[in-house]
Amino acid sequence: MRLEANSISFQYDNGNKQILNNLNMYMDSGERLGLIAPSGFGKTTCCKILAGYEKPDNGEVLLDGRPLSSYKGYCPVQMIWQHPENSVNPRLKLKEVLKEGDGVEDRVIDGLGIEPEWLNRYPSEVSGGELQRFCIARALGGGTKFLLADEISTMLDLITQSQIWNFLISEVERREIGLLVVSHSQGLLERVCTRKLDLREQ
Amino acid sequence: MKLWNGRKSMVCLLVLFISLLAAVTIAGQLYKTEALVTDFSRKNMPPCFSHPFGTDWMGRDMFARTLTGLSMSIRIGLLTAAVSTTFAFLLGLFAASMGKAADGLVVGLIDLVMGIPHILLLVLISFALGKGFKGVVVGISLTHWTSLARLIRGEVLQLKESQYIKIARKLGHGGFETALKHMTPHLIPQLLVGLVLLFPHAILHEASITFLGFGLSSEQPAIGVILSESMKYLAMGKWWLALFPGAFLVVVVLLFHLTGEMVGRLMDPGALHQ
Amino acid sequence: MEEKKTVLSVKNLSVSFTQYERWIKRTTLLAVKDVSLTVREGELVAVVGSSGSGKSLLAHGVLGILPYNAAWSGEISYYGEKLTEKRMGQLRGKEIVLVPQSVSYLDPLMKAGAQIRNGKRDQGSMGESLKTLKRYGLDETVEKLYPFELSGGMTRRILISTAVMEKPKLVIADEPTPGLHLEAAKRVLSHFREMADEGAGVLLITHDLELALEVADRIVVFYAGTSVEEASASDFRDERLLRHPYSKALYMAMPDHGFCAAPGAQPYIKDRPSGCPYAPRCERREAKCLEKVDYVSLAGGMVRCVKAEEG
Repeated sequence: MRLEANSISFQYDNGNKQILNNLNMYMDSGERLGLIAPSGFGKTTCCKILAGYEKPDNGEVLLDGRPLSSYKGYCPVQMIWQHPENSVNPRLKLKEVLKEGDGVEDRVIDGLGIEPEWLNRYPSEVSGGELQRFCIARALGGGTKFLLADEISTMLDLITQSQIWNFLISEVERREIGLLVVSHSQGLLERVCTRKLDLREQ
Repeated sequence: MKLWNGRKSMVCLLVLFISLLAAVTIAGQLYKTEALVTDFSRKNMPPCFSHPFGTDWMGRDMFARTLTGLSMSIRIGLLTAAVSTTFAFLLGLFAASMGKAADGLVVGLIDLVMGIPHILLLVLISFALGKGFKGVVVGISLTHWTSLARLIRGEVLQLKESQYIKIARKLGHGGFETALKHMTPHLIPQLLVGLVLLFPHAILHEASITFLGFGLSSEQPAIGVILSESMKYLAMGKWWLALFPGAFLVVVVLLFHLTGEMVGRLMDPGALHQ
Repeated sequence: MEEKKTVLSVKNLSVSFTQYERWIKRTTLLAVKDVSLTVREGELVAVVGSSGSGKSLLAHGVLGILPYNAAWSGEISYYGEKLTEKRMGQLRGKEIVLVPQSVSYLDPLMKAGAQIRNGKRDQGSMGESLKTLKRYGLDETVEKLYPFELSGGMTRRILISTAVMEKPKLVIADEPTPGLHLEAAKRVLSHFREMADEGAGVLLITHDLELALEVADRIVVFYAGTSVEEASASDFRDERLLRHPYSKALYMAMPDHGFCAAPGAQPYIKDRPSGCPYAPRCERREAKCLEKVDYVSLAGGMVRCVKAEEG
């Protein structure tokens, strides 16, 4: 399966400069692609477009040859955001967060080190690292074919970072999921990715 | 503001207020017949031990009449506030989640209703429906939903933009399901507070239009009726006819207002750290 | 070599919050527990911890800008003088400055130049602000821009310029790098290094250990709201020089040093065990790790571990 972006351009409504200009890229199942660009080059925007959160002004996103927007229901391209505290409803317990996902397997929950006692808590009652594990688990439901990780370990400590990435690598290999990695850390990209893409060279 | 050293005392106070209001409502029902009994042997008595609020020109006990009137007011308040809140919730949700045209329609309606002075619209509706209980309830219900509807609409619009709701949509959950699961926990506290804070408005407006003669009929011992009837006796020095019913109306309104404020404070997650 | 003066000394600082749970239960949350550190003139000390480990509260405590439901205990002194909240208020923005975390600390309706000059309009300040901007690689056109027209890196440099205009003796930088790419982040950090080299004390608060190691003299490692180790940056070259098992685990988890992950998760501050906060995850834990563990000097640094001396 292939996720591709065909000549995508994007500009935010508030009249700021063009964020993406005629971007072409692709990624295949089982591939771990690292996205490199200075800040302000639209890495987050790129993820949002690939996951269908934003509509590009021009061009289209294709999954398996079909426009991404034609997939109804659970979106096979899932994105994990940088700030987990914004990604979960503060008034719902964490077990509800897991239930939102598409049948998250126990293997994923265990693999991420999620402890049963956290499930009955509210998001404000766990640490940032614990919360991010829930967001990752939720995005790894059965229907996920591509996973976009936008600086997901930036705010966590290095141990949590390596726990999460070690798990993600084994999980995406096992399920042949395509993984897009956005990180400012060169060392992390070296460790995780099978291929790298520099937005500046587009 | 210091919260009377902590939330526990606030909850105690809340329980006290609510039981007081409930007591008044129930007592009013029990005194219903007593309030209508006339006895010319005891007319125009100032407050004394057997008649703490005095009696009127027909020898009716003012204590019983006041309680019954308050009870009536509270029940009307409860009914109209509930109807208004439901109205506000549905319209607010409709406006915010059904697209631009629906939004324009509801906002226009809100502006229209808000543009006309409350009391005028109330009098018109009540009069058109033949006054009485029905007129008052429909009138108040139709005029009091606007500000809450606007609040709910704003809240839903804001929630719709939040990241976790967008994520829920991508996880394959439908619009209605998301609204129910993600928005209700945020909206319920707002609604509850809105409901309680609508009470005093509803009660005061009921009393006002009844006082003006467009509300409840004069046989019913409503506060508005009591006050308007007492007007001509006030000049004759019968001060107790207006003082007690008026003062207790203010007390009930204040109790409702404080209850609403406290419920709001207790439910507001932003006040968690107080 | 002459002894450098201590600019900031924090001893046994604890910060707690009172809050309500489930309507009426009042609880006290000990967010920062028993933290000690010193910053000397010309020194850049980095406090490194993940989000929610309470490191920003440390900065707010020193500046006297904790939220109203927070209480602190311990001792904060500035050039040997014990600081009260009133004194903090006098020094704040003059001798002690904060370089805040986010763009939202700039007034959106005020042009960058005016913000740097803090509203002053005289000739002297004009020249001064221009000089400051030049120093950080910005030119006079930037002065006329509003905050929304600035890029992330420019905003950070404006925030820094605002701070250094007053020639501070102590600079506290709260997470100055998120959202910046590597080069920009390094450049921002190098500005803090310059401030330290010119004699100011700099306290850098960050989650990014790898970046901190590039500029800092000493590193204070934060874990679950408390400091577990203070080490010189050079100690991070070799695992054996590190004192606390958590720091060692951090070292091992770096992408360049094996990317090995120790099991377990950093607890939410309310679940922090008494004693060493890392004890439940530590391979060498003993019964006494669960009792009170003191923060003691060891080999030129500090450590909170009963077994540290055994190496």
